[in-house]
Amino acid sequence: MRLQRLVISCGALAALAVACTHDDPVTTPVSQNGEDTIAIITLSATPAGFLNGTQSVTYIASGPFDTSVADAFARATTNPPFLIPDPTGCYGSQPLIFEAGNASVPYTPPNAFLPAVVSGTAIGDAGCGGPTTYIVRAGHPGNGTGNRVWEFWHYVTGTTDPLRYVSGLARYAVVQRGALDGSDVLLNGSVTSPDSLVLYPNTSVLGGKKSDAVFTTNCGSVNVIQAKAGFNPYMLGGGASAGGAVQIDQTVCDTDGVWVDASYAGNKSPIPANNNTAFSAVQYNFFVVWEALADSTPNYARPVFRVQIGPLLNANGTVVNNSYAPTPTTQLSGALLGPLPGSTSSLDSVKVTFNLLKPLSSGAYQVWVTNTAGANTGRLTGRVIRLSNGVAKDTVASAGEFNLIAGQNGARFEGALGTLGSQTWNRVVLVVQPTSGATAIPTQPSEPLWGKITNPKPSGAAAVLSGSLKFGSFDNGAADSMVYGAGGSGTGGFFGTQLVQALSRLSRPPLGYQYEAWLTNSTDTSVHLNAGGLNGPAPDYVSLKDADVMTTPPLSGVEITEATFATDPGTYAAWCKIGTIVGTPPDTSILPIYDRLQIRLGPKGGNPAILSPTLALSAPLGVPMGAAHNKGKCAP
Amino acid sequence: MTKHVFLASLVALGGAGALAGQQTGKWRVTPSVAMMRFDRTTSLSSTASGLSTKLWPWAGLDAMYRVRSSLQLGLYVGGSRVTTSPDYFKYALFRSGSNYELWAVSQRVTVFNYGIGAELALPVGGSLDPYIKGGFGRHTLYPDVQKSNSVHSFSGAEFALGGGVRYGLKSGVALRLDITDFMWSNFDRELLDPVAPAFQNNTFPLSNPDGVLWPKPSLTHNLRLALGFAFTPAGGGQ
Repeated sequence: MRLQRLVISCGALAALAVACTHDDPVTTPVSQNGEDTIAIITLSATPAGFLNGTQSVTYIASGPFDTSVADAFARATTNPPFLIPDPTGCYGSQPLIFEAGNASVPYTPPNAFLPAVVSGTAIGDAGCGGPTTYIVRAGHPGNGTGNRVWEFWHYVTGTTDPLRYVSGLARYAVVQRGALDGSDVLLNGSVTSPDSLVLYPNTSVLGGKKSDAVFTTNCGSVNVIQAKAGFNPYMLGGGASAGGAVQIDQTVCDTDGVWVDASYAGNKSPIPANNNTAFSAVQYNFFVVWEALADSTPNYARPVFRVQIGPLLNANGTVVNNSYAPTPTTQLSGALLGPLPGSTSSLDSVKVTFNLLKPLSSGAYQVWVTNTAGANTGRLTGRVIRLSNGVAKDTVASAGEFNLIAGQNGARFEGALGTLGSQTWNRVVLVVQPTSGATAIPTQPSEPLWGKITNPKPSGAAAVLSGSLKFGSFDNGAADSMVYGAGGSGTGGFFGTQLVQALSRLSRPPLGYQYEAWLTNSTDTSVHLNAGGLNGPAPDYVSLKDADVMTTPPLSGVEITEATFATDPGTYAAWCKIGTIVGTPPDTSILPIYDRLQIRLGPKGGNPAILSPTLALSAPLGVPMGAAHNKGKCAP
Repeated sequence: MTKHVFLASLVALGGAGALAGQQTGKWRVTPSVAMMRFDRTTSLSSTASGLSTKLWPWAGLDAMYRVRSSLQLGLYVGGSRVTTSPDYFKYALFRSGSNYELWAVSQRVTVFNYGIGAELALPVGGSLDPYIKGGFGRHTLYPDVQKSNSVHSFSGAEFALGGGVRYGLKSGVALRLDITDFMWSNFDRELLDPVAPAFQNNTFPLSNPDGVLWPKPSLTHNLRLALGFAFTPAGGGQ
């Protein structure tokens, strides 16, 4: 029993000793290549250099023109027609209504509508060096600072001496016979059955001044007209023909606040807006010079000068669709009709500019048109102008595809639709083909840039003639089509000779594109080094070269949830290439060659030696601690 | 807490001794000291192989009841305090100003096992009595309270299989040397990771120890070599 107790006591003491052992935490710093401190390098999203571009198209009429479409010819404007700076310079540079449109003398306005303008008359030069056809609003600096007079100055030649002529503003309604004259001219070049103009309302009362016109900016002068509402026509003075011409230059003062609108087309301007806005009681759609009757009232059947300055009205006083000023004079070609709202038309040509492309080591760039679902596609052939920072470097004619060479980073493609114009298209797409000469778009294609087009354009729809391209994955318009946006972050640093980054929540790259790590120089863009691709997280470190199409972790939806980048040349000396060691140990310092770590997007077939233009993440690089401590024996 | 555990062990050991001294029936009590070599995947050993594998002192106690002349059934309990190896866990990553630092961290762990067992004596003549043994029970580990910032433990099933020899010193007293494989089922070493997930190094994964990637077998083998002092009350059949 003594032996038993002895053994038991020893055991108890041993257990007690174990129970009383002290258990300080055991922590040990971890070092690598002699360094246990890691200067943090933090990558943050710095989106830049995204592929971009523009597209523009032309249409050609390919079907019936629908004049019932609102403003089918796209001629409505807010401002009146002829609102331009005086081409003769007489009135300075501020726009006024110059009905002739240019400085050519003589000017003969279109002789449209009935009653017809007396033949043989025109507008001549009264002294400014161009046709004298002026309507100058109050306050225009051409008539002196602070003036309050509207000026109507016209010089009509071909008149008969010594007949008297009077001018005025008239508000006409159109009596339409068949198609509107203007539409007839635009579509066919001639009028089948001329329309007539009648005063509106037909109970109109003549107002204004019939006596000889006098120019004065003095609103107190007896020669000035005080603007009044409710008259039609509103007479603006007259004169007798002498030497086969008559000059009428009359001013109207807005003393009573009748014509005080600040713009030419406001509802208190005598000139109406050239759109569907209803006329006010002071607005008129024609300026006319008539032969005068014996009592100096107009002979409405014998206008000698008539110019449309606003839209036509119907018998109810409502603006007539497509009747906007000026009166059309020439037929529109198919190309001009093509983009108009009333036109049924097809795409004639496409011009697309692609910026920030990268030369491909394999494959080629092609331009395609597709429909929304990608069920129909068509490859375009045309002229390719290769660009360097937007500057043309060379041109390839009739190219179905193209590539770039070092120093080039863009291209402009110009191609006709040809027979493809008869099909339905709604996107123009840049396709990065993995093989040159490909004649079909593969499944999940690399389509990094695309723009919206419409073919055919139905009547009633406004044509979109230009737009910007989107950057991302078009994927033939599939549900996963998405616009790329840089996102994510990273952290890491130099641990010994190892440069490491742990990245999170990177955006999924566009189809056909991959992330690349680059060492760059922030001031010299020609200095850069491709440091390799990204991998997934430990322990598998799966390659993310195909992150554009991967469906397994770390890919989740539109994100790469986790990624790693690591490169380890093995020695500090190898890292000397990221910076030059200057000075003599221990007083050495690093003169950086590469001072940025950047994560960029590049096409999978891109030339690995050429810096990919699309930047996603960036961080100041620094240098490895060991190199800074000159452990690498970098030569000064 | 750990001191309390060991004090309880002490009381149990003392109680067993008292039992050995008082019982006159068929009970045999064996306190023992041992060396434990944990499975290399448990993180309680080391990543090294062969003889350099880490060994830990171990204390145990068996109380067996002889149901037949060669068969004994009873209870066993054992325990030790060991230190986890940092070679199986991601390093701790700390940020200090504009720098990172990596630290290898380990912790002290109290390990218990307990269960019911059986011993079958082999009919060999002489003073050395060989036997084989088996049993099943559970293992329970108490991580360091300071490290885990809480009092918690985790347990799992255990199977024991082994054998040894007894050498009788005199009536009712014998020395026993045996080797036992305590097999832990579905042991998850990650539960012993002393570093909270938020501080685990996922930024420099290539720098983490290789043991992080070691497999986790469904059954780990923990070998114990024990030297015991067996007492059998007078008339117990010894």
